[in-house]
Amino acid sequence: MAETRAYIGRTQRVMLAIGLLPLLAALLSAIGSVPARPPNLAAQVAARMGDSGVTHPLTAVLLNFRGYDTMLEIAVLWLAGLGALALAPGPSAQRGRPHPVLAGLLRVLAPALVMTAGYILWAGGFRPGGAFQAGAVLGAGLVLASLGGVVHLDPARGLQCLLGLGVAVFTGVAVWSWAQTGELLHYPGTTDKWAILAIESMAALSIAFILLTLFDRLTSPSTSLSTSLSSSPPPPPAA
Amino acid sequence: MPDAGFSSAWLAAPIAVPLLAAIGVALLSARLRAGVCALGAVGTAVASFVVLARVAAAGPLRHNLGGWGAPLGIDLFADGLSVLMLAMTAVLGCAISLYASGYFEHARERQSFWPIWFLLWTGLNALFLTADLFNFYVTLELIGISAVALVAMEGGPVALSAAVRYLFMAMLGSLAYMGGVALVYAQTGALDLALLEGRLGEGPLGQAALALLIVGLLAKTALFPLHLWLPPAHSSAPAPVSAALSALVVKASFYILLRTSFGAFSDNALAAVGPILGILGGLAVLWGSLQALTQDRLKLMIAYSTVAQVGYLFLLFPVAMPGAGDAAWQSKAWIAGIFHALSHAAAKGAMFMAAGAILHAVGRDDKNSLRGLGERMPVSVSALAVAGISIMALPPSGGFIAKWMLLVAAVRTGQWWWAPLMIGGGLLAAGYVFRMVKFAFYATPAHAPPLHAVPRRLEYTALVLALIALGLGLASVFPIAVAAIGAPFPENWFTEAL
Amino acid sequence: MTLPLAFDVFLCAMLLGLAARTLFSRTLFQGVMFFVVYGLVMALAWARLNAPDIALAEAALGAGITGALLFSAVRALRDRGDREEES
Repeated sequence: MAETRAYIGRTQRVMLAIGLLPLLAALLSAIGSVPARPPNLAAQVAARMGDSGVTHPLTAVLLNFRGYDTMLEIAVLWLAGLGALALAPGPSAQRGRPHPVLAGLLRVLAPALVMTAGYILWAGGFRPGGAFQAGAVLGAGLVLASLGGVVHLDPARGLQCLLGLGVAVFTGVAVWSWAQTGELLHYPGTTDKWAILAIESMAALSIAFILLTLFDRLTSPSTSLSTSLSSSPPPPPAA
Repeated sequence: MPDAGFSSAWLAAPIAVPLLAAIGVALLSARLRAGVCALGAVGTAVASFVVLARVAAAGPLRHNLGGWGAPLGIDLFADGLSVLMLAMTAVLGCAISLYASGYFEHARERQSFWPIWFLLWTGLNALFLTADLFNFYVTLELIGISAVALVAMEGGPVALSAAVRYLFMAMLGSLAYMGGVALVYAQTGALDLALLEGRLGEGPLGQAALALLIVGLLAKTALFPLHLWLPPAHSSAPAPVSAALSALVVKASFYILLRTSFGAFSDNALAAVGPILGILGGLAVLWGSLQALTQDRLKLMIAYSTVAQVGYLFLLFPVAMPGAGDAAWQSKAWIAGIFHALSHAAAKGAMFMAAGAILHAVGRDDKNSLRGLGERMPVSVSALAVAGISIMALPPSGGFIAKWMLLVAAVRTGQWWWAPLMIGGGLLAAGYVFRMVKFAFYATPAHAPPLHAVPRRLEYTALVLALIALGLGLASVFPIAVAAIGAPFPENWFTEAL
Repeated sequence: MTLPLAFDVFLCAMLLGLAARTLFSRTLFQGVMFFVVYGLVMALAWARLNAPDIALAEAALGAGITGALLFSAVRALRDRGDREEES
């Protein structure tokens, strides 16, 4: 078995590191001049917390004050899933029977991961947590489950709907709030808490399946991507 | 500005419509796809032109998303510059959608292309309409990742390695930009461009922030010497994607730089950065043109031409920056830069579309395979030649108006040394366009293989775009008047300049 | 030096050391292994910064899924190397 060496040799890497050190020093000295109490919006966030529908400032910023950023970010994550499907549209490889250790681990870990993800999602309303973290944990659980042969990814329309669910619900809420209040993403009245909860839970679900899709598409030995990558010569140098 | 018939919330329409189209085309059944795509493209264009008409009639618009308002929330903002970019994206977007509807042959390609393309369109419109430094980052990600995915969807080893290189450059650029935004926030506690007015680039922290922002944006705009990723990515993508990348995507990061430098940058920072950007732009014009002159493949030649034409965009910085001389001519240089972005979009879109039609018909795009196409594919060859007129900056094309205004402004502000560079760049452009197009007028080789049938809309979309690039020079009054709306120069300078 | 501070300094030193080992490892496999460990230590650092949710996400993404993807990339490259040696 051939040992896989990096394309960039060690000497080159050391030279690169030495070359980048002055830049790092300049950046660090700039960061050193950040005032001890930098100006920020914490006071304004605190002043408007009562109108946000949640009690944790991070969630208030991400889902309400700057909810538009988050809507586009979830679209970016969806895009990553779409991109992986576009690169490798074929059926998944049948993975063999899982190793007994993995199967045993899965039996213990899978329910725990689902519970943790659900808790992190709910906790986002009042303490650190939320859709992205919950989706990451759930996604890791799904990847484990797919390695164990419990979950089998089928790139059909059902999967497309799961991947797009988060962004669809977010956009739907945005358009609905527009119709209700005349302002995009201005959750009317006391619906803010429920709007945020709906967005976050659907987004968490989508993020988890996007992560599973990324893993499955890019590692399935049968997909066109991995055959294309492993049969192609290394890229020619730039013109 | 309160108005019974028009709410500022309509600013969100050019973003919401393509996003809904992307969701619809991905989630609905394939039978509805053609309808959703047509509706999405036309709807987005209509929304964009409604915003354009409103801004042209009543001046700049601002909308507080969620009703919060800056600095807590994010604001959408549109002035003349934003709506011109929006209109450019709408015209190119419709043309690309029409072209793509005839280009992809396999169901799998269509399924991959449409949602990602509408997300790219969403990202472009969102970028042109935001007033928030961090929101720019999110839209840049949307644009960058969809662009990489569209390059990679072709699937072959060449396209994949080009896409990976593009991805690395886009990620490094995003990282640098993001670092810059973090430092700006640490220094000022604000992200809204109006609140940052004149504050970027003060002190060592501000300079570090600015350096990161600029390097990140230059990498994404592919300004020399950060252009190496562009030719392989733009030339190996499917034709409608190449058109979108060269016509629109490189303009997005340029727009951020233009928007922030005239406004948010402090005068000192702009005076320090302007000449550097100008010199890099000049080098890009020379280097890109010379490379284009030596290419033997049509699509690579067009891609290197983009490297050169991007360079022209940056010549506006030294000429328009404060203290550069006569104020009226500074504003004229600024408008010239915007006008160049518009006419280059139409011309370059047309060229890549024509090249795609030729590649489809002949199967190859090296210069010898062009022989005889003048009589066998007259529409596509005309599109190439007409678009070439604008790239060479011959009258009456849009490219001519833009470069002529820039040239006169450079001379009038005492920076005559840019003039020979611009003229030289035009001559080189004539060289590389003629060198390629002349093969089309050679006799058809005796044993030339028959051409594959090309859907008519491919050739005619390219021709229409080329004619738009040509006609922009004749219809330049309206865009120039719109560009002056909310421009960062006193109004009277514009009346003088016109 | 108090105990929490000592732990934080230790974490920082670990992170820098692991980053260097990742960059300068002899084989890709080794590099990916160090990268995964780096992700786990990074998760600890997030936990020390009072962000347990980000710590979990870092462990799941940085160490878990990214690690798995990188390992499979190394395997794909190794398989290609094997084929090239056979031919």
